[in-house]
Amino acid sequence: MEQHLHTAAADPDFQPLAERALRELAALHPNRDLSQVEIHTDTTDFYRINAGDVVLAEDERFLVGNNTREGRFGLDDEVKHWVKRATDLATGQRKIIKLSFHERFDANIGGIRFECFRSPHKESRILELTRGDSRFMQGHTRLDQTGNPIRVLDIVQGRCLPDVVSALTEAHEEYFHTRFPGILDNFIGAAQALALLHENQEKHGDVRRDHLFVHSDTGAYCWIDFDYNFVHRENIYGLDLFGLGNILIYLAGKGDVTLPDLRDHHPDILATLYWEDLSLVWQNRVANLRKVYPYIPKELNEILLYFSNNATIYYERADQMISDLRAARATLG
Amino acid sequence: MQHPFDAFNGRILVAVDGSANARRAVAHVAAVASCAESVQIILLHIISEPDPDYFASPAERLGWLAERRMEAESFMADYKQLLANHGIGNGRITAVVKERDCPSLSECIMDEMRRLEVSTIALGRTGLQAKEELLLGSVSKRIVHHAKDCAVWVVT
Repeated sequence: MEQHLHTAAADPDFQPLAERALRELAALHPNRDLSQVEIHTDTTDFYRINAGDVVLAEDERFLVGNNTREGRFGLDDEVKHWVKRATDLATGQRKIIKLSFHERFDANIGGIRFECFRSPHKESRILELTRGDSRFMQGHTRLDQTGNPIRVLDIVQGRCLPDVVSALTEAHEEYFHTRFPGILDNFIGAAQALALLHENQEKHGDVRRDHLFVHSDTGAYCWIDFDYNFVHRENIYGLDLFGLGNILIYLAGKGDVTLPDLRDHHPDILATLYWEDLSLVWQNRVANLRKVYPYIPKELNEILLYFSNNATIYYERADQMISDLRAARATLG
Repeated sequence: MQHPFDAFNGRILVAVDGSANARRAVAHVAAVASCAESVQIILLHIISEPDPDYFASPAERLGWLAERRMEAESFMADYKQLLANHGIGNGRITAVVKERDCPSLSECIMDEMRRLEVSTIALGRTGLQAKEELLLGSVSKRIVHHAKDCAVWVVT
């Protein structure tokens, strides 16, 4: 055991916890060479924590697996060194552990600059707030020896929303009449979940389609990843609502309806579009989908138009949008 | 009974930051106040504190606040001079700098407006693009829509 003591020799609780972790590890992986296992109680330098190491956090012990990767917009290979697959050594359950990573960066949405930062404490607060609520990823927080909050996350059993939508093979009209009403129900549930955060003065911070997962058992939607934060100006929830609008346009369109797509496949429809019909922020996407798919009810389309160049007023709160969504849902039968 | 804000009470609050728009608002109020000696001007700047998690350490937060306070002192001095150039002396000017956690800056400004019992609020308009208004919200628009018992001057 001596070889493991270098990371936390001064902590009297370390040795029994480390011994316990190694016993559990030996039980899970009888062929593992325990002398090569590094045990970490300080996760500040997460680059030093590799697959096969063990992390101790308060009374919990984790065998570290591979890092996760960022999965959108061509960043498929960007390794997130602070987010690691792990096994809870007490239960053998697979988990994700998110280590504390303080970073600030400028994000740019449609040419608008935002100062963003990662906020592990915010994610911990939201995990507490939404405990037991299946509309949110579940997990809890444990502190490492130096006080870094480690978020211990259950793996959501399901697929992310764009994977589910892109796998649907039917034409848009059939999709819209058969599947979309149920999808809209789930989307309204997700919007209500977001409203819960706002009622508790929390923002999600990174509302986007691949941060919504579809539970494989119920088909209901589940928000993930709450550690993004941004320095807001007047409307603290503006970015969250913008994200919701984007997702709704994506769902109503069964994918993004872009100008290049229309140019290549439906130049007749393209010829009917004006600047006012496009997304306010993403200028190559169509927001006024009723011009492309005339069977989209006016009530639904009017919600989409709040996110178009034609908009002069905007949603300020999620409940305003939810009220309109309910009215639109009633028109779909 | 007359409501305290039924009439102009001679107290004008100018919500400012270090921008050119804010300076224009101060200049406008200076021109108006120079014609009426009884007018009192309150220059208000709110330092909107980010989430505590924004800072890597408490020391960094204190440094950030000190920097914002210094910036505020600098532009407040400039605005006082601008008012002085219109013959408005220090006796008619109050400068208030507040550090607040503001989910909405306009709400914080309107809180101060009520606390300070002003009958007019003046502020510069940033001239946001529509998409900025969607994503960020507009302070002046919200104040125009939600301020009560006062006049709102939006200087563009």
